[in-house]
Amino acid sequence: MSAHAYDPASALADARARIGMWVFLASEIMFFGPVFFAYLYGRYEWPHAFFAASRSTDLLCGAVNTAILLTSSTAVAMALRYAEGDLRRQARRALSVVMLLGFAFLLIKGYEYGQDWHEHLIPGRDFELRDAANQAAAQLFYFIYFFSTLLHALHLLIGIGLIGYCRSYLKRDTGHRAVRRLEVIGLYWHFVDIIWIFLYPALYLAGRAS
Amino acid sequence: MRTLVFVWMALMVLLAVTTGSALVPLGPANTILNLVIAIAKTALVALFFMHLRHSISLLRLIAIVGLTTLSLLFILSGADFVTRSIERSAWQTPPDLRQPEIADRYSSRDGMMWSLHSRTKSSR
Repeated sequence: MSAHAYDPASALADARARIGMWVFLASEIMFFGPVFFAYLYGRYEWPHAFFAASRSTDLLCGAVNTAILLTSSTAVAMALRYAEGDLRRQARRALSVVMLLGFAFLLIKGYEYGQDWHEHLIPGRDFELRDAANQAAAQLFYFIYFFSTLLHALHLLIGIGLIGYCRSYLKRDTGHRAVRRLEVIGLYWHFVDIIWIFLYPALYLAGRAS
Repeated sequence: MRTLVFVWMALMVLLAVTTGSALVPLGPANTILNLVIAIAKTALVALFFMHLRHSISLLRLIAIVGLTTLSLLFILSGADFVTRSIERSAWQTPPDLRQPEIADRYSSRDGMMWSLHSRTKSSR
């Protein structure tokens, strides 16, 4: 796959880096998992309030953000393909697109948070969701919403930083190491994307039709 | 590169289907469809973007061990939460449910909420 000649030492380093990242991601899933469990429990216990709260999120923003993240993941995969073919310039351009998409995602999310603030959806003293009979449970939904999306945004921010690092490293280092780093950081980016793939139906789509 | 474009198109179609179907009342099928589509999207990302399709089995094993451990934790804590009724400990002052105003605050259509929040707006 690589344009460079086969080098067993380098292939071993590749395998080691990949395994390290996969083990890290397997531990990350334990970090996000409990948030999803809290959501499942709340939805099982107070379905009406959770559906009402989920209906009050901004569907358009959520859908656009999902499309943005899925596209950014594709761009990361393309950048890796370019880098493996030693097309560094194209790879760097694809990574610029990834970073832009990442920032666009955060911008839209920030706009949503602003809306939530104006609609009194931040858990606390002024919380009020008109549709919900059970305010406490609706507030619990929004607690989970903010915790999970902020945790995801933090991961995305770290991801943008790492992609930026990869982008400059591809220029500085002409060897295979830059490609290896891009591959491993790409795995992290895809993982953050997968978390959002599950957050989107849970937070935005639940109870839309009921 | 062509494969990646096809995967991207498939992801976009799945996103459109899951969003569109969520607006159509299908009962429990809504949730099932959303979940199935999320799993399908994850499979596409993991197999094509994260290269699990062509990787050594050790990587796939790591992914499966992570998911299995998480499911075990979900099943165990889920079984606990679903079957256990929450009982107040002795030192917690029970709310006086004979007063209608307080009783209102602690009950709702969704069930007993007394333990969640002390300052709820009175429910309708």
